[in-house]
Amino acid sequence: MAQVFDRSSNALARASLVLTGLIVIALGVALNQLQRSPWVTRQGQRPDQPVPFSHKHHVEGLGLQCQYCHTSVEKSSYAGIPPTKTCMNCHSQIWTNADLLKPVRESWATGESIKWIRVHDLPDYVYFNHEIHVNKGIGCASCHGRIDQMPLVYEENTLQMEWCLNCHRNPVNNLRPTSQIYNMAWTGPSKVTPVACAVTGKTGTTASMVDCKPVKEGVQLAGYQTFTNQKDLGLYLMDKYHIRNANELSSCEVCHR
Amino acid sequence: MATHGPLHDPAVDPMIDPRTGEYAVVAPGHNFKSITQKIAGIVLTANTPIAWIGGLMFAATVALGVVAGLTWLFLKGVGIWGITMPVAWGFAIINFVWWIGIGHAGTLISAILLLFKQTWRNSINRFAEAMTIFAVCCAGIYPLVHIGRPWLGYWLMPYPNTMNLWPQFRSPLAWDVFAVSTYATISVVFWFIGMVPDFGTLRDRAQHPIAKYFYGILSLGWRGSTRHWIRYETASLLLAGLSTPLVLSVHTTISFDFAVAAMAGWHTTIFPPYFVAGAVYSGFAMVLTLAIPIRKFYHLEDMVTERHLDNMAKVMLATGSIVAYGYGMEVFMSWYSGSHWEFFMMWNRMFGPIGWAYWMLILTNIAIPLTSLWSRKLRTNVLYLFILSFIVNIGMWFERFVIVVTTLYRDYLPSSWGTYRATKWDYILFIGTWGMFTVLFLLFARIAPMIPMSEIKMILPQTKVHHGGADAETVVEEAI
Repeated sequence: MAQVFDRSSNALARASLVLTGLIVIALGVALNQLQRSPWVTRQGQRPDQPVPFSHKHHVEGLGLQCQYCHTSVEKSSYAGIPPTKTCMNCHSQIWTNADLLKPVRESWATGESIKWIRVHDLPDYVYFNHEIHVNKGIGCASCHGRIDQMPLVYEENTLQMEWCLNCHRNPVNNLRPTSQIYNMAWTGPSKVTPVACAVTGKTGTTASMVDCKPVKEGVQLAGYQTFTNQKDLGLYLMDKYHIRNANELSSCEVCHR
Repeated sequence: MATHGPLHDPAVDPMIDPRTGEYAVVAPGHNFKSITQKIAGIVLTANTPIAWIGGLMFAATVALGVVAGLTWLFLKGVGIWGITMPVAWGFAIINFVWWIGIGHAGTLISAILLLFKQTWRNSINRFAEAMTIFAVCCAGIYPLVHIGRPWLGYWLMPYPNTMNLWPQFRSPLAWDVFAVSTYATISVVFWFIGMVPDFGTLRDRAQHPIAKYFYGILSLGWRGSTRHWIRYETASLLLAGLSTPLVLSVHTTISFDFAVAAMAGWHTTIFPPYFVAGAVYSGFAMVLTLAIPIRKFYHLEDMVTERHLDNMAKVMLATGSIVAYGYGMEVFMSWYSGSHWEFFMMWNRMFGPIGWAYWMLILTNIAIPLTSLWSRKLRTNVLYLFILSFIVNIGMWFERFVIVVTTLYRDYLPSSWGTYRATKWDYILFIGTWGMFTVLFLLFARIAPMIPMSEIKMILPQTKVHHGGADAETVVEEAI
């Protein structure tokens, strides 16, 4: 009687064991990519806006400060997209015939809003508050990346919950003086570029009582504490800005109301 | 042979092995070859019984209830069920616990009886294990679909995710996930390993090339060498040792779903053992429900003998008595506790608007089985046992119904009292799972050996080593 399986089946049987291992690994990789790849998080993707607004041109080139357009960032949970009016402040005089700006002029003439495409779009069950971050020492660039170097805006970070929690559990690495919030190029204190801080005011909000300024290497200001690394500065600011602890900041009701 | 009971005169009782004086598990007259022919013949026949085809078609039609019930559920939401605000757990949980409970007898037979070296388990363990697995399949549906957003069910698994979130390991419902998934896995592994030698036999006897390949792959190159057998036995014993605490802890975990809550009627420390006893009780009832028609239909009366039915009925009597003790303790403690919530709960359970369910439970779980099973005559009356197995399964369903519903619909605040009435979708899904169970079981009966040939052969008198070795040669010949 002939054998049911010939010799080659030995190799197949062994290969199937290896294959099972490979499939398990491939599944793990695939599942990880399904939740973390930039394709899913849309990091780095630049959607076509109705007007190809260039932050690089307006911020780096013209030196506009962030709040000129995003007016409510310090006072509201929502940073705000500037209305057509803000564009027309300049573009009623400059580049008045440019094709690129046609939708802006149309919007101005008709009163129809420009349909900007939102790049940083959190789900509606997340309550994100810009004001608190800006006033507690989180700079624009920490979350949005170097907007001043983006011809078209894209998402720099994942905006996933783990990313938020990483900072809420340990804000020290990202805290900066509130005077440096809109400084896109801020890199934190170092030996070469120390930061000196002191509590100067007795009134006002917690952050405005603290005066921090970059100083020259080796310079010691009277009454000021000098920081040469981010960790020390972060710990100091966490204390002075009265930033709550990790347990409180990672409690559900902070973001999911 | 079926007319002889085990306690007849040893001199004339054919169930007593004249050579060793031990009770035989299998009726006399069998040798290795006849066992193989009989059991493998059920699987390897070219003539599928018409009744099997008819049964499969009927069961498949009923199983469409699962498809329809789940489709409509996913489209419309859990509101199609009769669950209300005080009674937010209804048929889904009742049926889940019921099905899981049914599965437990399979593990008890295959694992616990193996540890106790009960040879009578050998004829029934294979289909009891199959019953376990298919019952767990039916049970497993419910926890996945009774959540309002079933597509997020995977959040119950602990896996690294972008939310930095993990399950709440203090919830018994999270323990359920681990208990049931472990239980299903171990049961399948135990079942499959047990079948490997039998698949080898089927591979060797199969005529059709496809059948040869099919059973050849399933038998994993089993050659039946001594080394194979030593490891097989060790693995079986280890798995039995693993499954025994597992089966006790799984239903304990399921009882925690209730016992951990602060509801009067749920918050009871007796639940873990009493649920396990109930599970074995209903599980053995289900084994009887299956074994009786199977032995009749496939003429297996000489392997699943009256002694098997008698023993199973005795286990039911024992576990049923534990369950009865549990009911008694619940009543006693609700009086003895001095808590008027507890007292009211029991009064409401007995005499409230759904009091009929409680008396139904007492009738079908206690009154009928526990009075009659003491009688050997009734224990060996096949028809009576068959009917009784249905009665107990109904009773055990009512037990879960009473625990879930009568606790919830009237609790601490009278302003939140309500009632519970199952809708047609509750029934359609439940009946659908019966169909699904039957489909799976019929497929199993057709494809896999329902009775473990290798284990039956091990308990034949011919395997006993005795002086003289008179039939050593016959044994070898028969084996070939």
